[in-house]
Order: sequence, then structure tokens, then C-alpha cells
Amino acid sequence: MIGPEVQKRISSLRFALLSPDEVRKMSAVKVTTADTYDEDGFPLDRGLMDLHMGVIEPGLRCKTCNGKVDECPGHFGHIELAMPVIHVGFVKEIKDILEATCNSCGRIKLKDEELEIYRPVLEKSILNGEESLEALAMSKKIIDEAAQRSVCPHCGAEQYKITLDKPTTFRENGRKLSPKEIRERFERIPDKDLIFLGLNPNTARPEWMILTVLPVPPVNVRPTITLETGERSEDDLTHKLVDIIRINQRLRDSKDSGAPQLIIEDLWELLQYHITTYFDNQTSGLPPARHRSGRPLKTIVQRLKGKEGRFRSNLSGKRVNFSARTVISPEPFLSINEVGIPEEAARELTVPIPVTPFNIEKLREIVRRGPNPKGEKYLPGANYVIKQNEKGLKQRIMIMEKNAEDVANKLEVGWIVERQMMDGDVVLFNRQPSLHRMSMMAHRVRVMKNRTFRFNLAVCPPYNADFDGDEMNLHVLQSEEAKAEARILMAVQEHIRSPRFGGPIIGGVHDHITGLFLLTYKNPLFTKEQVLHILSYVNYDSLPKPVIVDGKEYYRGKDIFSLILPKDLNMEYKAKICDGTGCKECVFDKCPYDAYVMIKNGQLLTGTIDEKSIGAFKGVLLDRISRDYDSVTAAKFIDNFTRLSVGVISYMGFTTGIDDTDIPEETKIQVDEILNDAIESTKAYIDAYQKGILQSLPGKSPEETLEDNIMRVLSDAQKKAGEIASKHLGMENPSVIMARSGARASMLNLSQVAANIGQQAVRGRRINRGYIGRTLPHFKKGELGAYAHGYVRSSYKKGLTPLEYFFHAMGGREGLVDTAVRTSRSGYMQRRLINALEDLKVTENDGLVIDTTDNIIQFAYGEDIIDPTRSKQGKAVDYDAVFSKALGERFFLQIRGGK
Amino acid sequence: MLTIVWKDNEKKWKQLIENLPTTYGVDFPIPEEIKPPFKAFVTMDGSNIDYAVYVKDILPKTEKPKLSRNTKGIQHVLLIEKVEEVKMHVNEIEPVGKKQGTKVQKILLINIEEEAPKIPVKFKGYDDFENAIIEILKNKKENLPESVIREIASRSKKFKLNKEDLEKVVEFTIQEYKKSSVDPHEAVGIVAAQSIGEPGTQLTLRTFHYAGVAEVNITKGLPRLIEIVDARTKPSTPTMEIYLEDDIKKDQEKVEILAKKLESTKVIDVADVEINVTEMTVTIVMDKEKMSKRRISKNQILEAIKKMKHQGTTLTEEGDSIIITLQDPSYKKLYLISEDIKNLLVSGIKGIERAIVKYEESIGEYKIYTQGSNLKSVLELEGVDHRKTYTNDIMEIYEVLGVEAARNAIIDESIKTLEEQGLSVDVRHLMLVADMMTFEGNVEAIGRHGIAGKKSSVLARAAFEITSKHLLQAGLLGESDELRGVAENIIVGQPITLGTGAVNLIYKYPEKKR
Ligand SMILES: [Mg+2]
Ligand SMILES: [Zn+2]
Ligand SMILES: [Zn+2]
Ligand SMILES: [Zn+2]
Repeated sequence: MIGPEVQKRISSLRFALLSPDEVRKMSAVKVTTADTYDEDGFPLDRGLMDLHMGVIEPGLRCKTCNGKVDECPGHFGHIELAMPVIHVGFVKEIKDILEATCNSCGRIKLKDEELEIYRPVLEKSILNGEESLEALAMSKKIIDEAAQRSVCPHCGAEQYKITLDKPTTFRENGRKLSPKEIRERFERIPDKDLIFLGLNPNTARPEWMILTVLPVPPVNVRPTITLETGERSEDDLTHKLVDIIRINQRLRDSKDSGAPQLIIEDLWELLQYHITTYFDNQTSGLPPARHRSGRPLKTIVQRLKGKEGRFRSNLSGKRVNFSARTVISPEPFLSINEVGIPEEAARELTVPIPVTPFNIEKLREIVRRGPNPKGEKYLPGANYVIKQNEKGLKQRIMIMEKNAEDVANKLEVGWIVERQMMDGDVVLFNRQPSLHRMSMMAHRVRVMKNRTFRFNLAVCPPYNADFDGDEMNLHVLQSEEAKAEARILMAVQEHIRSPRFGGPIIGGVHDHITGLFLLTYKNPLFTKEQVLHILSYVNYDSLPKPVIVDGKEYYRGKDIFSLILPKDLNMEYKAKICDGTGCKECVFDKCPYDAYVMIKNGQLLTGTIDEKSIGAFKGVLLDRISRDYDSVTAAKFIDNFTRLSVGVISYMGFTTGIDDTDIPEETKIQVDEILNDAIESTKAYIDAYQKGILQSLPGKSPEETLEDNIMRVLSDAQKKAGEIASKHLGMENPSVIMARSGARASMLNLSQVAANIGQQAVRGRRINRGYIGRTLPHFKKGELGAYAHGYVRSSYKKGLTPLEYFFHAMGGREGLVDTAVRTSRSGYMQRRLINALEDLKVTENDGLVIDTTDNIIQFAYGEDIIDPTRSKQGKAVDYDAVFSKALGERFFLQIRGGK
Repeated sequence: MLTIVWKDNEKKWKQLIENLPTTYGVDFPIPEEIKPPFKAFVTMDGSNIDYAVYVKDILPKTEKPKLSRNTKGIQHVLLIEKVEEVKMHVNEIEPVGKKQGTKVQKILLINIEEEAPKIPVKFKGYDDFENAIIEILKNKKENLPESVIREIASRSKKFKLNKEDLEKVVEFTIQEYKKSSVDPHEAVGIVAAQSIGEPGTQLTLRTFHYAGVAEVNITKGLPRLIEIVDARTKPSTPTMEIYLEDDIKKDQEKVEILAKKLESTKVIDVADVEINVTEMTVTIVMDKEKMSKRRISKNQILEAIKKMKHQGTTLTEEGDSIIITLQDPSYKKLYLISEDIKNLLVSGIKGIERAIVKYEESIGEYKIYTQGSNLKSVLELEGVDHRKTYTNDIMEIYEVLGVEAARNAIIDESIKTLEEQGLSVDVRHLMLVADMMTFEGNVEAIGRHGIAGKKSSVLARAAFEITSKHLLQAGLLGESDELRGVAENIIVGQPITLGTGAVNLIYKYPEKKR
């Protein structure tokens, strides 16, 4: 029976140093043999793979706990060191303590009354564990002060200068201090002095920083790897431990046999080297220990440190089961809340379903289907059944075609069926880099044919996804809590608005915008047949009222669009296509360009729907709906407009090509004239400059003035050429439709194709690099003209000259390098920001911001306790909406009337 | 509100009204709960209330009243300020305690709804709107942030709202405001970090010329943002925007002079400093042209050199040169002196390399832009508007104006950096970063040397940077990790304490039916 499981919580972790006694106490075996396995491949007794330290081979049992591979947690062993050795991690502290304490009596070289002032703070901080940083600074101060004293104030002994030969050799007045001597000195330090040295007497003794016993980690921390060839390969730590035991043995033998001091010293130092590199193989001043192949060994510090280390790679983030990854592709007929997954993936990924009296028959049917149900239509089968026996032990039964029927019949209430995925299951969907919370959202599954993940295009912006080969990850939720949280908090529809700027981040892109533009611009008429086709994908109640033209019934585009609007919506705004240049004074709803959007009671009366209405980031209509209505309505609206626009665009057809940018011959001549004039005028500037008569701009040198003028003249010319070319590119032109409606590209792009590409720049200036005094050998040294410094006169359509092409590539390359550098830099910044702010939260009743140690960071979150997500572009209140609700039509009359 | 109704006779009352304000003796007790000033009611017939009485004070009965209800048995003397005619029935006002009945014989203790403050019907200026909004909110017992009130007041003025409209607007605003509040336990820190970090990839890496003024370089984009969160002691391109006092801000000439005074000029900028090895002297050869350009006189240079603290030196002038001789010269000394002289400040303010005057069209006055910054010295200058003058050096703002100013500077500078690149990031996120950096009273960096290094959790510190050091140190100190933060709980594999992890839900099983 599945009952409520009691959740335990670790309340705290305590750190301490291991004393030699403790090491011995927790050790399961004293390791003495510098070897691993015997000829038969069986772990040697008292060897590094001794079975007391755990098992890594299936079939064997641990000699300490009698557990099998998965049951035994592993146990430490130990090595008795022949001579004490310094722990590299504590070299700095050892030096501090040597300097701060008396060489004969072991007291801190400060008078008791000098020390006592510090006691209260240090006791509070070290013994009671409050705010250890302060203590650290204080003990540093004490150590510095004590180190200055050349005579011990307690016993009057003379003190000498301590120096450190990196990494681990200490000298006193030039004489080497052996670890043994240091250890003896440290033993003399009384417990009561320890807190002044930044040590907690309850958990650490200074002499423990000098090792006499070395713990040997359990074997499952350093497993032997058996290669395909049958060859065994030991872990780096095991290699290092072999070295340590070997040298330790030799040192002990030499000591026992009374070998010359010199030999003992050498061996002792060698042992120190091995133990040092065992801890940290990147100790400065030591050559790293290497594998036979020459690769430096990865020892303890290397295992923990850095991005690939234990902390960041295995503890802060983990590998998971029940996940899938594949290429993504678009599917406009899915809701934004859905994700299409391949049948192959659905059969592999499972959801655990507890068997209850209510679902047992249904689950029997599923189990009966086995892991590979046949048939054209996808039906979920089951891969495993988890059976619970009387003792409460769980047993997994794999379902195969053979036993499916049998298992299904045996199914009992209380068992768990691992059912294959089916439509409606909740999954998390993610695209890396996961830069914000919208990078991982909950979708509902739709199992589909073919092998890609599919989703609605409106969800591309939050994931920053496109379909040029992008892959995404999917995680199947396993617990009811997780599913509930995902559904309520992580569902796509709950993330239509971005907390970054308080506007929609999910919304129309590309063809959605083009489609609705085509539907609404200048209100085209559609026959009933066309309308039914277009609307066949959309949820709607009934057709709008037709208009009669020439005795025939037609439907207007704006009426069709109005079908998907909420019926109580009232708003007015200027569309994207209103660039404000066409008209002297806005005439609002009488706009001749159909650029003033007016919606009354859910009816689009005037204006064109484009990026400004439904675009991700910029759509104000979408903004209003996602803010004023519930998330279901908002999601439905997005679903509907994406389908509607796909319906429109696929019915009407839309294509773009190179001939979109064709301009008449006489226009070309005009463009040429403008560009020629510009070149002439740059020449004039250069001339003036060379004659020294160029009027400098205030605060600038003549050179800078010249550069500025050239850049200005050329970019003005480009603008003018673009304008002239654009004159011949009207709203019937597909490329222009895309640019003006905000679907894709810009008028600048078009003018670069049609008329003139313009100046290329590197680091914000004209191109000035290359050879001495010139950019390319094609130019004279010191030449200043436009062409010599990266001016591209051609248009993309005309094609670039080789020189232009080269300069253009330079500009392009800079962009690429910039992007590459930027991603790493901003990634690091984000990591630091997250680290600094991750613990902050808003309190329950008063909107304070506190951290997890209850420091108050803000007295009112954001000064007004407003959630940026729910704000209107950062504002707490959508004033326009409030006033229009309060005043009704009068509000709009006033905006239009009184400017 | 608790108050009283008493019965009075017409004649007396007429008399009283004619003599207002006046003192009036009454022959009934007034309960202690009623404290002046208060509004009482008077009935003539015992069932219709005819007047509202504004009692300003209750005087002791020893005071002789000008008028009284009765000649005998006066218990209180009321100071009546004003009397208003009202039309109400005694039954409409709720008497305290049922037994007292509703007919008034002498006095009735009643409880009336506190009257709503009067909202004027017509508003003219902005203040009228703002006051009216505040009154409406008071009536509704609701509250809105000041910024919201200001915004609706100014919009209401623009739309010339009447009272009913304004009430509707306030009502809808309250609804909107409540709808938009943050959820409890929301992980606002993470959201802020993501919101600033996510657009980081879209920021430029380049430093550009400042849009308005040539010559003043400013670090922008990602490098600037990193610089701000790093709390660097000096920004890579410090700059100031100096506003000027009324008397000179329109006078280009005066502003130019001030600007020249700001620019720090070193000796090396206007003269050549040479070591004469044969004579063992240091020679300063002045450059007349450079000097006049920077408006430096020979005397200024002399003065500056004289102020130097080198002992045993003598100055001699020789045309355009100044020669310095030492008492006991050595090459080293000569070298040191010549280096000191080169970097000697002749005029201007330390740190300000360049000052440029610009006419600001939008405000119709001259401003000085500088390269280099020295807020303290500039604020002390005559003619500088110390209220508006600005620097982009956050640490300098912290030192001169304090931590709150630094906090605002962090917000302003970061929002400016993002907005320049066309990225919209909610201020609240930047506020949170700024508050996190400054809440301890000084400016701390985001990162290893600042906040991250000071976390109380060993595991969180180990996971961030310099793993082994933190673990070893924790052993020595016997630190214990209380597992309260996010990173450490993830490491040990248990739910974090934010969001849904901050609360526990307990399901109460329904009692079984028997
Ligand atoms: Mg891609
Ligand atoms: Zn075991
Ligand atoms: Zn001593
Ligand atoms: Zn217009």
C-alpha cells in the first residue's frame, strides 16, 4: 500500500578535522599492501581493493557490512604513515600558527590580557557558530600581532623567523623544521588558545593538520574500470595511494633498519610529495604526478573543483532518467500548451500510475498491450510493473510480449504500473542555454508520428529556438506533486508574460504577422467558401455578418479577425505600419494607410493587425489580453490567431524573391547620382584636409573631423538612396509587407539589397587595418578615399567587387568574434548574479524581501510590491485600460480629439 | 462614532444661534467616551433632529456659560462653534442600547456612522485631484503607492474628470493594483538575476563615443554592466556631467573659463622637463603656445613648483626656462625630482583630464562634460549646481554622498546601460541588485570578493568558487551549514525553501463514515 511517506530533512551539516584516532576508528581495514588484485583478479587482503572497504564487483559481498554492490555504501580504510607529513591544504594555517605561537611553551605570543579582549566575539562566533567571517578577520589580526613578538611573553623564550619554502618545507632561521617537530610544537598549544588562532577546539587540533594516519577512501569512490579488452584500469586515486603505500613502506623499512639520515630524509620528502599531490595535483611549485600515458592525475582537489568538479557537475546539477532529446520542428496546429513527441520516445518514457480500485481495469488493458502495442493508432502500453510484496519490498517486473497477459491478470491494487506516455501527460520541455525561467516550461504531450519534438511557433521566443537543427530536452514528471506544480506554475500559458519587462514574450512571429496583415490590411473581402477554408482550423461560434457587394455575399477580413477577440475588448492604438512619416497629422480612425487600430466591443473596426498587435515582445493587443483576462483565454487567443494566420497565409499564398527588390532603371540612375555626389563630397573633404583648410569640429582633431564627415556623408547617402529605392517598393510588395509589418527584415535590409550596402566598420570606425599605411595593396599608402577604407558601394543584388567583399567579410567577422566573446562573459556575469541573489524571497504578508538568514534586503519589493510579470511594461497599473474602462468611449474621443 | 442627541427648546436655540460661537451650559451628563471636539445633534420635538452642533470643547462647569439650557443643575459647559440645520429622524440614527428607545426626552446616546469626508465636486488644479484621490482612498480604507496616485491625478487632470469618473478610476486602479502584486515566497532574486543576465548576450562589447559630446569616451554595454556589479573602485571611463548655477549657466564665456579651471594641467602638458647631466640640474622649458591654449601663466607653474616638498632645491628663472639646482645632487635625486615635476598639477582638479562645454538645447543652458571624475572637489566649486551635478563613478558617489545615493547610482547607471542598447529590463530587478549590493551599509561587489564570498553556507561557497579552500577552512572553524539557502539544499538533495518549497501542505483525511 502506498501511504504518505514521512519526509525527513537534514537540518544542518557540521564540518571538522579528522583526528588520527578518529581515522583509525572509522577505518574498516589497515591497508598495508601496495597492490590491488591477485593473479585471479581477486582483491588482495589489506590491499587497496580490500573487500572491507566495499565492493565494486557484482557477486561479491562486502566484508564489513555484508552488502552487495548496490547495498554497501563503502567504508574507509587507513594507512599508518611511517613519519608525519604536512597536509598541503593547511600550509598557510601551519605557517600562521608557527609564527604566532611560542617555540617552547606553545602559547600565543600575546599576553593574556591582550588576548582576552577578543574572547567574547570569537567565542560567540566560533563556538556558537555565528557569523564566522568576523572571527576570521579577528584571528588574522591576532596572528599578525603575535608574529611580531620576538620574545615569548609567557616563558621568555627567544623566537625566530619562520619561512616557508613552497610548497611544504618550513624553516626556522634557515634550519629545516621537520613535520615531526612542527607536530610536537603544535601539541603543546593549549586548547584555550585555539580560538584566537581561528580554530574551533571542539572540532580541530592544530597537530591534526600534520598527518600521521591517512584515510583511504572506499573502493566505490575509486572504482576499477574493466575495459572491453578485459584489461583492468585503476582509478587515479588508487594509483596515487599505491605510490604512497610503497614509499611509506620503504621509509618504514629504512627507519627500522637504521638507514642513514640522508636516505630517510629523501624518502620522507618523497612521501610528502606523494601525499601532497594525492590531495592536490596542481600545487604550485610541484611537478604534477602523471599517469603512465603522461596525463596528469586527477586527485582529490581536482575531483571537487571547477565546472566539471563534483560540486558543480554532480551535486548542483545531476543526470536524470525519464528524459529525451531530439531535433525540434514546428507544428502550427498544436496549442501553445502542447508538445508533440515521437512515438518511439513515448514508448520509452513512462509515467508511474498507482493501481487503485478505480483504474485497475483500465491499467490491466494497458499492461495487456505490452511494451510494443501493434496497430496504426498509438496506444500506450506499459514497460514495467512495480509489485510490492508483504514485507513492503519493491520488485520490478519487466513487461514483455510473453508475460503481458499474465502480469495484467495478476495486477493488484497498490502496485504501480509504469505506463508509456500518452496524450495529456505533463512534461517539462527545455532548450539550452537556460537563461531564464521560460527556458523550461511544462507542456502537455501529444504523441505523434516522426522523430522530432514539435511545438507551436509562438513559443519560439521564450526558448529562443529556431528550426535550423536546434535540439531540445524533455523530462517526464514522475510524482503527483511535481505534475501538479508543473501544471499550475510552469505551464506555457502561465508564462506568456515575461518578468523581465512586463509584456508578452510568447506571441506571433514571422508568418503569423504576415498572415494577419494580409487578412486585415485594407479589409479584403472573402467569399464564404474561402472563409470556411480559412476558419477551418479555428475555434469560433458563428460566421460574422456578410457584406453584399454587387449582389454577392462577402466576408471582410477584419470581421473574420474579430471572431477570435474577447467580446468586451475596447482599445485603440497605432499599428506598426504607421511610421509617422506619411502623414503630417494623425487622423486616427480615418487613417488612409489603415494604420490606426480601433477595436470596439471585440470588433476590429479600423487598422491593420501586425507586429504591434500580436508580436512577441511588442504586441499591445496580446499584452492587453494576457493581462486582463485569465491565462486560458490568453492561450486560446494565441492558439486561435496562429491557426487563423496560418489559414490565411496558406490560402492566399505568400512568396518573396529577389525580384521584390527590382527597381526601375531611372531610379537606379538616381541612386547612382546620389552615391556619386557622396563620393565627390568625401573627396572634397579629403582635399580640404590635405590642404589643411578643413574646419575642425569642436574638441576634435582634423583627422577625427575628416573621419566623422566621411562617415556622415556616406551614411546620409545610403539613407537617401534607400529612400529613393523604397519609393518604388510599395505595400503590395511581399518583402515590404514583411519589413513594414514587422514580420521579418527591415527596410534597411531591402535598401541594401536594392540600392547600396554602405560603409563597413570595424570597432566602430572605417576599416583601417591591414598593411602599413593602407588596408590592402590595391591602394596607395595613406590613401583616404571611401573605397580604400571599406566603403561598399554595390548593392547585394548587384554583387560586391572582390575588394568590397573582403571589407564586408571583415565587418562580418567582427560580429562573429564579438558574439563569441560576449556569451562567455555574460554567462559568467549571470552565474555571479544568480549566486548573489538566489536566496532572496518575498515574505508572506508584508512584501518584504529577505534572504534565507532573514536579513531584510528591501522593505517593499520593488518599492511597490508589484510583480513585474503582472505589471504593464513595469508600471503597476495599466492607466489607459483603467481610464478607458472608467470613461468608456469618452476616453477614446479625448485621445483622438485633444492632443 | 458615539455621540449624543438632546432635546432643546426653540427660543433658547434661536438665541444661541445668534450668538455663535458661544458657551452653553447643559444640565445632563456627557459620557466620558465622548471627547471634544465632537458633533452632537439637537431635537426640538423629540423625534426629528433639527440641528447638528459642532462642539469644540467641554469646559468645566465652574466656567460661567453665556447661555444655558437650564438655569439649574449645569453639569458641563460646551463651547459651541457652529450649528447646522439637518433633516433626520431620530429613528434613522441608531441609539446605543435597545432599552433607551428612540424618543428623546432629555438626552440620547447614539451611534452614528462616521460621516465620510466631503469630496468636492469640482476640481481644478492637480492638487485638487490628488487630494480627492487620497480622500477616496481613505473612504475605501485602501492604499496605493504614491507614484500611482500621482499618475492617476495628473491623468485625471488631463481628462478633466468629474467626481463620479474619478471614483470609478480609483476603484479600477485599486483592482488593477491588487491584481498585480507579487506572490508570497516568490524567488525574486533569481528572477532579477535572470532578467539582467538573459539580455546580457545582446549587449555590445564595444566602448563608443558618447552621443552628445565628442572626445568623452564612455564604457557601454556588457563591460559597463559588469563594471557596475563588480563595484570597481574606479570605472574604466569616469565622467561627469556638471550642471551650473543660474548666474553662469547661460553665459558661454564664463562656462568656458570654469571648464578650463577644471581641466587638470600638469607641468608636462605645458613644458618640457629635462635633466641637465653636465650641470646636474633639472630644466623646465615652458611652451608658450600650449600655455596660452590652456590659460596657464608662468607664475602658476612657478607657484606649483615652489609648493613641492623637495628639500634643498633652488629655483632660477632664465627666460622661458626654470632651472632647479640641488644642494647635493645625485642622478637618482634628479630623476625623482624631474618625474615629480612632470606630474605636478599646475591647475585644475585632480582626476579631471578634460572638460568640454556643451550647450544643452533641451534645457537651454550650458553644461560641462568631463573625462575623469572628482565629485568632491567639483561640488565645492563656485558656480557648480551641486544638486544636479552627476558622476558615473559609483564608489565616488558612495564616498561623497553616502550609501543611499550609491544605491540609486547603481540603479540609474545600470538601467541607462541597458536602455542605451534598447533592452527593457524592469527597474525592480535592478533595484534588487542595488539593494543587495548596499544593504549592509557599504557597496559590495556581486561575486567572489563580495556577496558570494560572504555567504554563511559552506556548501554554497564551495559550489561557487575556490571549492577546496572553503571546505578546509570550514573544518578548522568547525563551521556548521544550516542548509537554509538554495544552493546548499540542492547539493544535499532536498527541496529548497523558496516558492512552493517555503510552505508545507498537510492533507487532512476526511473522517471515515461508519
Ligand atoms: Mg538555431
Ligand atoms: Zn559494506
Ligand atoms: Zn613561551
Ligand atoms: Zn497615420
